[in-house]
Amino acid sequence: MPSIWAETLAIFTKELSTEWRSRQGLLAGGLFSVVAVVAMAFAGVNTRPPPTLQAGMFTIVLLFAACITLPRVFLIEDEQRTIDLLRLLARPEAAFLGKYGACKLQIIVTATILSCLYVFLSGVSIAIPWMLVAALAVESVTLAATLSIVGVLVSGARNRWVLAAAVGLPLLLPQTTLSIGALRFAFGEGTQTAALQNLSGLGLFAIAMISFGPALANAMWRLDPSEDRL
Amino acid sequence: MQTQRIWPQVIALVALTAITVAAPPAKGFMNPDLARILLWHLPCALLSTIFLFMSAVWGFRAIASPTSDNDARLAASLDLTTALAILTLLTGSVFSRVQWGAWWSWDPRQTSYLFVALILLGGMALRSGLDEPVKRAKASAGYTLVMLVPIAFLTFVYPRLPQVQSLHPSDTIQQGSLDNPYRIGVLCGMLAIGFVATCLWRLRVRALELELQ
Repeated sequence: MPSIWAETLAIFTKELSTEWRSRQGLLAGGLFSVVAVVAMAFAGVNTRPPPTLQAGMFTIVLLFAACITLPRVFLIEDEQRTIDLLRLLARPEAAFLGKYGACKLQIIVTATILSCLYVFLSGVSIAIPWMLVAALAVESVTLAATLSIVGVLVSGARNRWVLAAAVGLPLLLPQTTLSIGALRFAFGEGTQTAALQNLSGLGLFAIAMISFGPALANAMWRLDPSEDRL
Repeated sequence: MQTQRIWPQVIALVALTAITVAAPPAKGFMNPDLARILLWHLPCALLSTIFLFMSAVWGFRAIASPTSDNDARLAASLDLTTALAILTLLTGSVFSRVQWGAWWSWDPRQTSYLFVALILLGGMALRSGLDEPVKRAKASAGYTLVMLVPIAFLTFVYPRLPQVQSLHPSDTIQQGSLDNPYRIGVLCGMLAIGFVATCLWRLRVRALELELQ
């Protein structure tokens, strides 16, 4: 029997090759980012919003881009009725971790594209570049972990695509607040101590979600009907 | 069929109303007379936290063993937590209008509690979207356990961060800053609203069990 890491790697590779063939997630996320940044830059032409507002707008665009693209990695299995096959081929924890890895990579690429576009189109100046990179890295991990959990929870629901956003957005509100707190320092406002506190909080959220995800996937996807007694 | 008597609950709420009217005006507030709403606001907030922890316990049990009993208790606890959180927001909004001059002040404490209510409503949306009972029980239990992290952060950590400047008083009970009549009033409010909430919880469990059967 292959180890859990071999199964995780297999699922991760499968997700990447699926994405490479269709490029649906990246196209949807990338297009949304471009449209949102262009709309924001156009609305605020000749004005320069304060750093906190810039950090807020940036984080919200990233949040919505993630909500549009990430749950798809989980929901597509449900839609194509391949989830049962996946459960037969890999342990639930491995399936979750493999898919989470693919989500993380996807959101990191989206965040990179978004930050380049944002800097280029809105002419925002980055005061502390390392904080921008650190905040985006930790925020991407948190977004991927939380939305992977949401993907597991809403698969099987009637209106799963809408429900994923409806369930995911409230869960991500505290992380969004923390991310804005870290990014506003990167854009030149606030103190380093407060930014580092926000970053640590974001990191703790990421750890909590990554730790809980495999256990939840095991509870939701386990193949033992005798345990389900409702 | 057993009928539910409602007069004990009505008496409890009437008694709490009488205590609210009889309480002396609260010192240190902009409008001391209307600050009496504290006797409803604080018990609702505390009880919603207690029901949230109850939901977590039933969530833990339901995810391990998704039986109709565990699911009904979890769903009823979540419903009561949401109802009490909304009551906390409404009474808080009245307090905000009276003391701070606006129904909604975007105060960090007020906003963080709105986030809590939205997270709870997200759980109800998830439950309503799932038809298959076992899946619904597990997903609902999973969501309850996941939401504990953001809710604990928003309720216990965020309002106490040094950079968060709030008009809302913090740690009122722990610091013992309540006068005796208010301390007793809040305790009575906890008992009265807690009694009504527990009766509603039992009714909701019974209704959900019948629904699931």
